[in-house]
Parts: sequence; C-alpha cells; structure tokens
Amino acid sequence: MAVKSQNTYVVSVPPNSSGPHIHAAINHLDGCHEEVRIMAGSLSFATPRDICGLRALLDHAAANTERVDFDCPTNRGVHRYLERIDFYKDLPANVQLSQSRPSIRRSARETQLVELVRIDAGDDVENLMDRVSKIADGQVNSRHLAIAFATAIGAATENVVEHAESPIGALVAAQRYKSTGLELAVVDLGAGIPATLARNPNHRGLTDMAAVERALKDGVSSVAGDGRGTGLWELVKAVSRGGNSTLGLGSAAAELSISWQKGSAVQNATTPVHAIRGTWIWVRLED
Amino acid sequence: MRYSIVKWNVFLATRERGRRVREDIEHKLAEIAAGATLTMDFSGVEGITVSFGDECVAKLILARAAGDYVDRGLVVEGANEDVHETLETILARRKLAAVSLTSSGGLHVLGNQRWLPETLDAALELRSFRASDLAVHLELTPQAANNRLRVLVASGAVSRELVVPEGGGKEFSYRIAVPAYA
Repeated sequence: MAVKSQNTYVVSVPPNSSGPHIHAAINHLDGCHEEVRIMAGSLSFATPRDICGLRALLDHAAANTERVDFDCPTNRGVHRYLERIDFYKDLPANVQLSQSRPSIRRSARETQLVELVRIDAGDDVENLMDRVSKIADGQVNSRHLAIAFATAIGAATENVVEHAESPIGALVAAQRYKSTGLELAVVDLGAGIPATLARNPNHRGLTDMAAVERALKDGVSSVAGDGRGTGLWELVKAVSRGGNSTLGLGSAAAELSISWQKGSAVQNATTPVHAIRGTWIWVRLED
Repeated sequence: MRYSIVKWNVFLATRERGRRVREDIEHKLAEIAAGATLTMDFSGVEGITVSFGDECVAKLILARAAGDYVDRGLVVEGANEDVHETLETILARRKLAAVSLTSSGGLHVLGNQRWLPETLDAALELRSFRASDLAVHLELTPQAANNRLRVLVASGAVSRELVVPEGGGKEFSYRIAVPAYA
C-alpha cells in the first residue's frame, strides 16, 4: 500500500510478495516528492524477485527524490539475509537505513546463491554467467544444462545492456531452496518489452501481451536484420530443458508465465493491477 | 596460427565483445601469410551467447563470403558441447557454415549443411585443385561446382588464390586449409 503524505511518499511493503506494491510505487515516483519512506519492517520472506524489485524501487526512489528512508525488516534473520545477499551494498548516498547493517560472517555459497548484482556492461554479463553456471550446476546435475541456463540468463541480461536503456541497469539475484529448487530474477526499469519491440516496424501496433508473447519467439528483435532476436528465445529454450520449471515475464500491462512439467507446457497470461516498469523476469527450476 | 578465444573470458557475451574479438582475429588474419590458416581455438570457453557468436564468428564468415581473407584458411577447434550448439544455431540462422576440428581429429561442418559435407570430402581428396577438377570429381556442372566452392571458401576450410594459367586469362586455384589435412 502506498500513501502520499504532504511531500513524503510512503510505501508499505507487505510481509510477503511485494510485487504489485513496488510496481505502483515505481510508477508514482517521478520527481514530484522530496522524500520517500519504504516501510519494509514487516518483511518476513523475500524471494530473489522481491529482492531485485525492492532494490529497484530503492534505487529509483533515490534517483528521483532528495531522501529515502528505508525501514529495515525487524526480523533479524531477514535483515541479516538482506545483508548476506548484498541488498544493502553500494546504497545511494541519500538512502538512510533505520538500522545499522548487521555484521555477518560470509562463507562461500556459490552453489546456493547469487548475491544481488547490478549488470551495466558486457563484463558484468560474463561474470554473471559464470556465477549462474555454478549455482545451476548443483540444481540440474548436468554441466551442459547448467552452462545452457547460464548462457540464456546472459543473453537476457545482455538485452538490457544493449537495448533497454535502464537507469538502474539490470538487477539479478538467485537462491536455491531445499523445498522449491532454484529461483532467479532479472529486473530492469528500462523501456520494457512492448516499447522496445515497437522500434521495429514489423512489431508495431501490438497489445502489450501480444508483444511479450512475440518477444519469446526466435528471431524477433527491436532491431531489423539477420542474426538478431535470440535473447528471450534462448531463455525459453533453456528453461524448458530444466525439467519441472517455470519462466515468468512482466512488462507494461502484461504478465506471462510458462510452466513445464513432464515435457508439456502451460501458459498463463494476466494483466497486472499496476503497469510494470521495465522488464521483470523470474525463473524457477524445481528438483 | 592458433588464436585462443579464452584469453578474453571463460564466458563471452554481447555484440560489443563479439565485435572486439572479431576485429582482433581480423588483425591476426591480416598478419599471416597467404595460404596459412588461423585456428579459432575455443578450448576453455564454457559458453557464448548467440549475440556474441553472431557478431564474432558469423560476421567473419560473412566477410569471407564477400571476399575478405579468402586466400587463407579459418577453422574452429576446441568447442565444447554448448559452444558447438550455439555456433550451429548462429550459422544455420544465417545460412552460413564453418568447419570445426573435433577432439578425435575429425571434421564437422557447423551450420548450413546441405551438400557441404560432400563437397568438403571431395576437397579433402583433391587438396589443391581448380573448380573444373571438383566439377569432374562430383559430376557437377562448372556453375554448380563454383556455387559450392563459394560457400566452402566462405566457411574457411578452403582457401582461394587467383592464378594466371599458361594460356592467359585468370582463374582461381583452391587449396584445403584445414591443418593436418592441408
């Protein structure tokens, strides 16, 4: 829930699943407020998608207001987890935390998580592919499939670097859970799929949903020409090979998920309550 | 000459990176003598994106198809399963081909197949030849032999040099450019 109070904009982050609230807040914050308060005190669980989304909101708010107050989770475990996954790393100078950053002992967990990372350039994409290949290795038990998955995530993020014009780059995080497997998210606040695709005259005049669906096909690109339009298609191909798996995409007024189980795919298309700024991608590879 | 791709990184992505690697390979191609071959060694490279591969490898082949560096060879070696699969995709989409040396020393045509494996086998037997030799060997018309040779030269497996025959005029001489087969 978001409340406008004088010149302060307050975003209340619910305990779980903060997606719609974050989309609403991002849409409202475009330079008309002096201060933003992000109330995440009740946060009790955060998936990679939630973490990327929350940090995207924080960075967006910091770039568009003079001051951002972030009310850290009161749950010590969640506060420490945010530190461990680098949510608090390299915060903009105008962000104030309600609590000091916890001191934690870091052990290498390359096969369990990919800390929140910002992808701004080609080198970042290549380093990310290396990290994703390591976490996927333990999940899919095949080096070839792990590399294919890492390459597909690389292709999706290089799209952001080369086409999306996202002011925050692309934010990526991943976590392996004992119960549900590997979850990974890529979030950017760029032009979004429908607007980017419409740069190519062949793909103009589509609804947002039709644009997102078309972007998943081989050879569909915002740039006309051979050899283009493979980023999201590579992702579909790689995730579909991951056994029981789900790929979700949200952009503008379209949210689409495709689940694969025992070789058959089920697609679910919905219109989000609040338009989605940029492109949000999430993947789950189950055990 | 062996060109190690892994010196750039274990994973390779983006068109910008692909362009830089391609330009570096083009410099090396310019340095080697006519008739020599540059081996693009992917040993140690774990994965490449389609964008990288298209900008690097596919555009090298396209440049050859346009006549650049056709008097020297260009082959792929050391590609793991994932890189191999990506290169197949990239080249097939553009209807191009390249030749890859397998770990057992065999040759594999990447990308556009059609009659290329058969033509490559014929070139391996002939080693150094004219278009008319290939036409006879494969029982093709001269035009068909020339069409096949154009694709084979672009792939990098065969180099082409202009020669002046005794009777005057000009024609092309072809030579297999794959190391260990040349």
